[in-house]
Amino acid sequence: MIKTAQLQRYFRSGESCVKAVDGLDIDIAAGEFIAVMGPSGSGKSTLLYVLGAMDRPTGGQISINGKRLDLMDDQECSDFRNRELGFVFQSFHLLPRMTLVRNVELPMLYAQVEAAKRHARAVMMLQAVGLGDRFDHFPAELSGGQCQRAAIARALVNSPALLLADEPTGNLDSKTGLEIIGIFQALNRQGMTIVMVTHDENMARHAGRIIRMRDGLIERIETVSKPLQAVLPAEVETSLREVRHAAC
Amino acid sequence: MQLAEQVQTGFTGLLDHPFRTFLTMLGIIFGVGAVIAMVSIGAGAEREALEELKKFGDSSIRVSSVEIQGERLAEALKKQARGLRMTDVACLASACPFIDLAVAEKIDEYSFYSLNSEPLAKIIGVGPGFLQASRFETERGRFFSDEEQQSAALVTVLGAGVASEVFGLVEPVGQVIQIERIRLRVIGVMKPQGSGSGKLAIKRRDHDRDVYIPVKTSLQRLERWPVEDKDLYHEINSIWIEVKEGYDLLAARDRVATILKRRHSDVDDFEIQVPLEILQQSQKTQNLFNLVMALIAGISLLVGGIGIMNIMLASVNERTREIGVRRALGASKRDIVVQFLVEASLISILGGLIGIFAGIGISWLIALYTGWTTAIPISSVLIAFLVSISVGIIFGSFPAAKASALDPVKALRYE
Ligand SMILES: Nc1ncnc2c1ncn2[C@@H]1O[C@H](COP(=O)(O)OP(=O)(O)OP(=O)(O)O)[C@@H](O)[C@H]1O
Ligand SMILES: [Mg+2]
Repeated sequence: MIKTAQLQRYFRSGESCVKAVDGLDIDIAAGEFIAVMGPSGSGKSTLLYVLGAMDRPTGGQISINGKRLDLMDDQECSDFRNRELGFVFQSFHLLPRMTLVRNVELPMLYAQVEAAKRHARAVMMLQAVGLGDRFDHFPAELSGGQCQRAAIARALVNSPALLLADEPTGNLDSKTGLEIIGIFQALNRQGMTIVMVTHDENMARHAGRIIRMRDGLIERIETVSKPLQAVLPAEVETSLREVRHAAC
Repeated sequence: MQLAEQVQTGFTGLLDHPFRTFLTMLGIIFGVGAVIAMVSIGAGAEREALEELKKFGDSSIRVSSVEIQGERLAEALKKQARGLRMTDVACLASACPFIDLAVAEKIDEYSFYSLNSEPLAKIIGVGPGFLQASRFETERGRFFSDEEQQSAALVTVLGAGVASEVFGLVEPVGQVIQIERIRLRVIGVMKPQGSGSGKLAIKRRDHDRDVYIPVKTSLQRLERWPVEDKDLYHEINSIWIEVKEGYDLLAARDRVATILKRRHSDVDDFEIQVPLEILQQSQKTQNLFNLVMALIAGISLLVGGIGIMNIMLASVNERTREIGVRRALGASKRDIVVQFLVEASLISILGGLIGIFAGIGISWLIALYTGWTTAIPISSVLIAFLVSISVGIIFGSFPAAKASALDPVKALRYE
């Protein structure tokens, strides 16, 4: 699914050069749940943005789903982000002046989905993450956990095969964080590939493998022998499965 | 993303700051409004002038007598000049092949008597061909026959205003009016002319108050009580000349002037007007006016455009994070460019529309309070609208380009 060879992302400013990602060889199979850990400044976010076609590598190769990201132009990258992956961020990044449903509609807007279908699907997606009664609320009216669930709904709405999350539980208490991880695990069980950056060892233990980074390099990759299971109400899992099937 | 969606998104963006948006629009509103109003005044004047010209015809020349007195009169009499006369009319008609019609006009003011009223009216003696040269028409009855012209018949045709004033509901045709000691039979009534406001510098009177009689009747039968020599100098007041089609009007004017000058022993006792020429001159003034307006419009729209650019730059700055989020969700550079262009254009289009309505309102108020004729040419509305769109696109393109050039990651991490 994801394959990189000598992937580099250097930041040059004048004389100095920050080697945020410094020659990574990563191989992630479809359907894996990967956690990325490492101290602050080790290049986790940078790696994630490069994987997400938001940032271009300064060297090396990267292919996702057989597509060479390092060879794509800006328009192709935009389409790729729009259709083939979903982003979840630490600070949610919902647009504050739009209602939840309009936020969730955004990726479909850029995918030219027609208005009625867009709205119906956004509402359905919000229902699946347990926000069915909140779709016309503004982000400021919701708790952090609710915002993050809305952001997940937004990330899933174009049915991507890959979910990239940068510290998705960083702004949440551990109980709420585990709810989010529960949703990730459910999605993962349904075949979604997930790469999640986290600072929380406990959260990382829910993934199948952990990539540990330091100074732009991979320190080690460990396989979690028995991933922890976050509890998730059965109906959430089924409704998630249903909406994801409905999309295909 | 489709344009309709972009427009909707744009509106949402603008409504985030309704007051700011309105202030930004003001520049465009004032610019467009002022231009529409000013153009409406110019266009109104032009339309009026054209209507005026239609009344006179675009092939007519008007010779009018000019009153002279004192020493100049004495000098003229010494030179044997005798003013504008019927013989001038006959001479012009026979000497100039380009003249279709030359019609004498003699104007006097008398009170006349009929049906117990005694109104003051202009008694106009007119030569044969007057109806054709003036483009006037009778509403009831008929105009003078050649026979009546030749024999100085005691007949009259009334202007619509005088007729209704004197006779009211009584049928005027067949009635008799008395001027001094002569009695004239009414044989016709003219169509109402309406009084032109006379923007064009052509001498006009209220033709509805005219009382027409054959010119010979006027000259031979009306009693006159000259007080001074100057009252005797001119025999007639003016000559209406119609030039045949295909002849140059200005050359004809010059020829008429030469002939009359010679006949009048070089005395400056007449003037010649060509309505078409006067109109053309007024159009030249109009063009200058339009140029100045265009300049003012250009400057105010430039200022409005800079206002839009300024606000859009602030907006791009303010919404850096939003741009990053949209990019992460799949917006291409083009989507971002269009988003900000649409927003800028919405400001200018809305401003333009409001300006157009404001301009129409102002022009209406001007017409109401000054009595000027105003007209809103469709072209000025269309141009104002197109210019508004262009201002938005032109001044929005720099901020839009700036927004789309933002690095997605940096935009997303922007605090
Ligand atoms: N645009 C940039 N210009 C220059 N240096 C940058 C830029 N973005 C990131 N860096 C540098 O790259 C390195 C890696 O940054 P990155 O954000 O990937 O770290 P991180 O592992 O996500 O840290 P954290 O856990 O604090 O989020 C840091 O040293 C950072 O200063
Ligand atoms: Mg980070």
